This record gives sequence, structure tokens and C-alpha cells, in this order.
Amino acid sequence: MIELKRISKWVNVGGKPNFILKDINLEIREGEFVSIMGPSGSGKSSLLNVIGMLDDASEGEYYFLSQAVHTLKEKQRSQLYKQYIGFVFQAYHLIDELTVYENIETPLIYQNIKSSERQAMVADILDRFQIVGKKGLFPTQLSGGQQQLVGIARALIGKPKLLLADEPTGNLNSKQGEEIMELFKQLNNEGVTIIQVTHSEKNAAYGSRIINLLDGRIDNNI
Amino acid sequence: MIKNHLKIAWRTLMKNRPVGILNIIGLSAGMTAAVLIFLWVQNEMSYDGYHPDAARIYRLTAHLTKAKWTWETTPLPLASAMSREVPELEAVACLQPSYSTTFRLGNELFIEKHTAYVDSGWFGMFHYDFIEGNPANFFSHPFSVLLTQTRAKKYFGDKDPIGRTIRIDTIDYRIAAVVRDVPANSSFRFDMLMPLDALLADPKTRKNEETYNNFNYQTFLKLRPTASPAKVAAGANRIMAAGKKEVGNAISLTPLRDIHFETDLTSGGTIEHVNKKTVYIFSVLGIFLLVIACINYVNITTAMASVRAKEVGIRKIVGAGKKSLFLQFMLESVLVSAISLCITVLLVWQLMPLFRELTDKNFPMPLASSATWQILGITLLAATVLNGIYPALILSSFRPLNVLKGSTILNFKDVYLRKGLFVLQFTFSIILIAGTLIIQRQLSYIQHIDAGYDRSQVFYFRLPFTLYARKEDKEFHSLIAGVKQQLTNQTGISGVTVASQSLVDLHSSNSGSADWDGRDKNFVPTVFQLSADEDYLKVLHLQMQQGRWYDPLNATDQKNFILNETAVGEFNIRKPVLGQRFAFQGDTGKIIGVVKDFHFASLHQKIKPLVILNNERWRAAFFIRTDPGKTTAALAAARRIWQNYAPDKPFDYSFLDEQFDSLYKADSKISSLILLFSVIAILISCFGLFGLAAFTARQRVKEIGIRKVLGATVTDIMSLLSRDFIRLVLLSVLIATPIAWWAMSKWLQDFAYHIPLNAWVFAVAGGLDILIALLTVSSQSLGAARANPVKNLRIE
Repeated sequence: MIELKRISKWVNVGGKPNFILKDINLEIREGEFVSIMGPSGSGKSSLLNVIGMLDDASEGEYYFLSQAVHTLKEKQRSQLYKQYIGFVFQAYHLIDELTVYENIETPLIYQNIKSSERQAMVADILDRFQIVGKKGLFPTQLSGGQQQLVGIARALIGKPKLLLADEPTGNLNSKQGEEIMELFKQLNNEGVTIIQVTHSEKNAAYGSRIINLLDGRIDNNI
Repeated sequence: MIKNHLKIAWRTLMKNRPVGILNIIGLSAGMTAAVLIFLWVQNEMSYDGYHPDAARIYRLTAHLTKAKWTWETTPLPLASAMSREVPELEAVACLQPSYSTTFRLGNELFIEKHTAYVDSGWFGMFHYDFIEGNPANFFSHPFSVLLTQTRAKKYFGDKDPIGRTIRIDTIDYRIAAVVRDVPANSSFRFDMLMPLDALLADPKTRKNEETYNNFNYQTFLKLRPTASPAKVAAGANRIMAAGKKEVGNAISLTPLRDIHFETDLTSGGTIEHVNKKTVYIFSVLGIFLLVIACINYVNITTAMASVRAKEVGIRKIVGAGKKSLFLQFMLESVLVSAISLCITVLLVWQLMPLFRELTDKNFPMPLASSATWQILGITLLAATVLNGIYPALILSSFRPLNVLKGSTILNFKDVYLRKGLFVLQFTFSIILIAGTLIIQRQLSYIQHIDAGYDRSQVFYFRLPFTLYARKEDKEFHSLIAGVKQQLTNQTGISGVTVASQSLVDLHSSNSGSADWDGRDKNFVPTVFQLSADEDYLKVLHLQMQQGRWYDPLNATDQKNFILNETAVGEFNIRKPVLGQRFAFQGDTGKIIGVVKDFHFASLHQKIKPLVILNNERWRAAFFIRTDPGKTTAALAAARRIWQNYAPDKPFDYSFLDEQFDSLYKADSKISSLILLFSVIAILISCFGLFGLAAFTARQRVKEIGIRKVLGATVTDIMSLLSRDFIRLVLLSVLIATPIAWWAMSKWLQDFAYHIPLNAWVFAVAGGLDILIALLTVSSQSLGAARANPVKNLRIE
């Protein structure tokens, strides 16, 4: 599903390149549940952003569902990730002005899905996540765990093949964290490919594979 | 999608209520001001344009080149001769204003201030909406009257006015027609019209009017579509030269649409004029107010961008395209503009009576006219576009990742642009503050200037012309002396004097009859003239420069003259001035005194040469000085005496100080309008500043926190936050001062007597603006400076 070949990313600091990612080669097959681990500043989030097409690599090739992402134009790329990728963030990133229902509905609006169809889809996922009773509330009225549930529901509403999660439990207490991880496990079992960035060994253990990053390189020694 | 956008627009507005309210208040204030100004401007610019073929209608203007006079009136025979002899003309119409007309209805006396006589061509050329009657039956009888709807209602109530009679002098006039009130953009603001034949019914008058020596008629021509105005003017001059043997008269054609903007007429006449400069100034003012209000919106909205940025970032990640985000922010702008528009409509509606009073114009139901909606529509469009596009572009172009990562959203360019807009706003408000200060000071200078006479507690009235016109000199003397004696005997009256005219605004002038020893034969000055009796100096508190005033016991004084200082200087009278021979208006006598210069016209004009003569036949205006607190009693006494002499005329009097104030009516009107709009501009600017200050404080929360941890005091933080703004305001002062200086010196040039343009006015204007800015900013920075740093630092 995903193939990274010699991906590097750097920024110039004082005229010298400062590598964020260096020479990453990575293949992820459909149905995998991959955890990216590593210390702060090791490039975990950058790698996730490159995979999510939110950011460009400076060098290297990236194939997503055998399309050469590095050759695509901005518009085609966003078309691609709109269709196949869902994002979950540490800070949830819900739109405070929208209700739970509307937050989940937003991606569908941008995919030009008809109103009646949207209603059915949102109702479905609300039911599945058991947050029907919360649909009229605003994000600030929810607990962190509930907000993250909404965040995941929003990521999944478009039926993505790939779910990218950047420290999804980072702002949650351990019980809420466990629930989220259980949910991920379940989603993975249903066929969603998941790549998560995490600090926690315990969370990483939910996954089928662990990639360790150190100073922008994949560290195979661990 | 639109529903979703509107929903979020509304919620954003509600969530940031203070900012939203500031935005809307600022925008509606600016839009209201702009709409009112453009209503006025539109009205001024559309003057007389509603008549069919207005572009082909011209008025004859007479230039008396020798005396340097320009009149809007020409002789009556010229009109008829032109319609006969100039083939380029399609129609000719004449009007003679009759100023105020007194008439009797039943047992009551009324004065109608705006009346005129028109000839039979009038309604063919100018558009009137006849409600009852028609031009044909109006002209079918010479003693007909046409009334406007309002007047018909005033005099006859709900009864049908047609066929009823009113009595003017000794003749019954029949009401023949009623028309809709003339629109606010008509130069011919007459409430009552009568056929010219009524005026000419008296054979004496007809004889008098049918010469080329009397310039009494406003003559209008409608040219054929292809005719050249120059050719018509040439024809007019040919006829004029043949009719009036005297040289030195020229006739020109003034387009109907330009009549409203005439400024070079020697006497104001009956048509209200406005300076085109003023109209342009107000147009610019209107645009500026709107721009200021929009700048606010742009500034506040982009400042709010950091708050909105997160939302934009998320939307982009979940799939929003640039186009849909742009649409979203445009919609928000439309929402705010639309709400503001509703408030604007409400405000315009509410402010209309006040605005009518300020402008002295009867704007009919502004919300019913299509012009208003056009103006509102254009204003809304301008506001939406100005407001929407820039913020929408900025907001929709964020790179989502940068936003979510928390890096700075607004780059330097945006900051500079916002600072630029801010400076523009304050520049404008400083110009307005300085302008207001200077205008107010000039007007108060006028109010308090020593005009050279004492106008307080003096009222005057003029005996009706019909009372004395046919009297022999002796009878006339006993009439005037009798009235004066009776007035003098009343309690509450401390002095009475009789003169030809009010000295507040002297109109009478003469050219060619003044002569003195040593006059250069080619020097024929235009001289103002006034006839005054022996008590004039004492009652009106004039000052003598040398010599004496008239002495009632000195019989030769009848033909002696008193000059003002300017006359002595300009005429170059030989020394000693007193005792020199002086001839004027057919009398020859001596100069017995020189009166100190006093202002007998508005301060727009320089003091001109004045000759005071002692010819009693000229005098029928009584000036009465009352004892303090006895004005009512004195007026009642004067009214009683009036009724003894002229029982069929209403007692018509005026106070000198009111007459004086009315000289500056236009100036004070402009002053109050500028004051109003400055206040609005300053308020809007302050809203903008408030919003920006709030934003800056929020943006620098982390920096403030760190500084406080490091030991900065509240004062340190406040000066840190205020410094930038003050610097910008100072920059505005620098830019505004030369512009305001230039503009205000132009304005002051219109006054022959004016205050000097002092630097301190600009210092005060700048200082005031800085103070306002400081107060606005500190209200925000105080909060930021006082906040607990630990809390602020944790936010990140």
C-alpha cells in the first residue's frame, strides 16, 4: 500500500542542511497496524506527515496504492488523501464552533455527498461509537476521551483505507487511552490500515509492527 | 455547504461577540454616515435634472462689465424678442420672484415667503405634477394662484381649494391649480405661483418692466437639439445691444444643471446655491468613512485569523479546498455586512428628521426612493468586497500544517499592510479633528469679532412700501417722525433710529454717481450706500474716526456725507478729509465725518467703501434698541404702533443678531456636519484600534508571560504594548498635518477675515488622537499586563 524509497527531508539552517528524515525506506502493506516510536525530535511526526501528504519530502520516492505521490500536483495529492486517508491528532483538533454531529459531517460536505446520505452515514457512526446522545454538544462540553472519539469518528466517516494517528492518546488519561487503543485494534481487525505515532510501549504493543526512529533514520537495532 | 457556512459564520460571530459587535457597530456607523452623505450628494448633483430635456435648457446671465456685476436676471423684452428672432430656440420661459407675498384669507393675514410670477411658457419647460387644475386654466385668468400640496393643505385643510379666493392687496385671486410639492432637488422652491399677467396688469408696472433698463426676470431657454449655445448667446447680445444703447452689457447662457452651483452672482437671488467644492468634499468624506469602517473590519478579521487558523487548518485536512474556504469567509463578510445594512437602514430611517434639519433639505421618505436603495446596494457591495476579499484570501491560503504546528500565520507583509491601513485610518481622523477645531474656531471668531457695531437687543421692522410710496415729502416726514416719536415714548425702548437698510447685511450699492475733488476721471468705484438719521451712531454704537455724525439742527447736513475709513482710503480723498466736497446720488455737500470701519456684510467679504447719506426719503426701516429684559414689552409696543398704521399687514420684524447668524448659516451647517462625521470617524477608528490592541495583547501573551516572570512590572508591559500603536499614531500625525494644513487654509481663504492657522491646532489634534489611542489601547493592555504569567505560559 505504501512504499517509501530513500525518503529524506531537511531544512537549511545557516546554509547547512539539517536532516529531519534521512534515507527512509519503508513498505507498509494493507491491513497492517504500525506504530512509529522514537524520542522527541526523532522525526516521527514528520514521517507521518509525509505519509499523510500534508508535507513534502525533500528527496526520494513515495508510492501510495502504487501511485507516485512525489510526482503528483498539490491538487491531485489532496484529492488522493481526501479519499483514502483519515487523520487523528493528539490535540483532537475539532472545530469548536461546530457540534459533534457537524464536526463528523464536515469531511462529507467537502466530498460533495448528498445531505440525506450524509445523515445516514453520520447517524451510523454516532451509533457505532455510542455517542448519539452527544451529537448536539460542542467539543468544549466533552471530556478529552469523548473528544478523541469524535475525532476518530470524523477520521473514519469517509471510509478511509488508512488511518494516521499522531499520539492519539497523548492528552488522555490511561483508562481513556486504553479505550482508544482497543478501538484502534478493532478497526484494524475490520481491515483499516493504521499508522500511529506513540511514545508509549504499551500502546505500541497493540500494533502489529513497530518502527523505531532515531535522528531521522529507521533504527533497526532495537 | 452554504447552510453549513452560514451556521458557522453565525456561531463565530456569537462566540466572539465583543469583536463581532465592534465590527457591526463600526460598519453600520460608517455605512449610515456614507449613505446619508451620498443621499445629500446625490440630491445636490441631481439638481434640476428631472425636467425633461434638462440638458437643453439654459438661463440667461447678465454681466454688467463696468460695475463688475453678474445677475441671474435680464430685461423682460429680451425674452420675447429672443423667442421671435432666434430660430435655434424651441421655447422660452420667464419667472420673476416676488419674494414674500402677503395675502388675506377670510379674516386672517398670511405671508407666503416663496412666491413667484411665471409666464405661460413655464409649465411647458419645467415639470410639475398637477394634482388639481392644469396650466391652461391657471393661465386663463391673470389673477390665478397655483399652490403646492402642502400649502393648499395648510390654508384650506381637507376642503377642495380650487375656485376659492385669496386677497392680495385689493384684488381677489382664484386658486386654479394644486401641484405636488417640488422635489428636494429643485432650484425653484416656490410654494405659490401666479401668472406674470397678474403682475403686469398694472399699466405703470407693465411700462416699467418693458424696457431694457430693468433686469428683473429669470429667463430660461430651451434650445433645439442641434442648436449651439454660443450662437444663441450671440443672438441675445445682438438683441440686447439693439435694445439698450449703453455698452458694457454682456449676456451669456448658463446651463440649467449648473445653476445650483453658481458662485459668481453678485446677489444671491432667490435660488439656493451650493459650492461644488463642498459637494466634492463631502463625497470624499463619504467614501473615506466607508473605507475607514471597512478597514476596521479587515483589520479585525485578519487579526482574528490566528484564532480562526486552527479551524481553517482542520478544514483543509479534512478536505476543504481553497475555493470553499474562500466562499466561507466571503459568506461571513456578507453576513456581517447584511446585519450592518439592516442596522444602517434602521439608523438612516431614525436619523432622517435630524438630517433634514441639519441639511435644511426636505428629503422625501428616503426609504421609498430607488436612489436610496441604489446607494445602499452599492454601499453593501463595496463593504462586502472591501471586507471580504482580503481576509478571505488570507484565511483560505494558510498552509494547514503550519497552522496546526502553531507557527506564525501572518507574515510581515500582512502586518505592514495592516499597519498601513491603521495609519490611513488615523490620518483621516486627525485631519477631521484638526478641520473641526479650525472650523469651530473660525465660527466662534465670527461670533465674537467686534463687527464695529452692537447688534445685541436690537430689532427692526420696515414700514410697508404701500404706506408711504405715494406720499409727498412733507407727509412722508411726518409719518416717519410720528412713528419714531411714538416708539421712543414706549417704556422698554432705549433708542430708535431710522435708516434705509439693516447694517448687518447691506445690499444697496451704486456705481458712477460718487464724485469728489481730485477724483481720477477713469476711477468709477462701486460704493455701498446707506441712509441713516441722526440717532444711528448712538443707537447702534458705531464709532467715529474723525468728525461728527448728522446734527438735526443743522439744515445743511441734509446734503452732507459721512464715509467709512475704507472709502476715505480707496478714494484717496484730499487732506483734510473733513470739509471736502463730495457729490453722491445727485446731491452735493461736504464730508462731515469718517466712521470707523464696521462689517456690513459677511466676514467672507472684505469691508468695502461705504457712503452714508442723509436723504430722508430713503428711510423706512426702524431700528429699536430695547432695555435689557424688556424685549417682549418693546416688541408688543412696536406691534401696537404698527397696527395703527398698517392694520392689513402682519407685523414683520427681525433681530439684528439673528440676521447676523443667518449670514453664516451655510458655514455652521457644514461645521455641524463635519463635527458629526468626525465623531463617527474617530469612533470607528477607535473600534479598530481596540480590536487590534486586543489582538496584539493576545498574540503576545507568551512574551508578556516570560517578561513578567523575568520581573517586568505592569507599567513596563503596558508601555511595551502601547509603544507600537503610539508610533503609528505619531506617523499618522506627520502625514495628516500637511494635508489638513493645506485643506484648511483653502477653506479659510473663503473668509476675508479669518483666524491665523496656528501650529498648535495640529498639535492639539494629534495630541487628542494620541490620547484617544492611548486610552483605547491601555484598556486592553492592562488586562494582558495583569494576567497571571503562569497561566499564560501554560497555554502553549
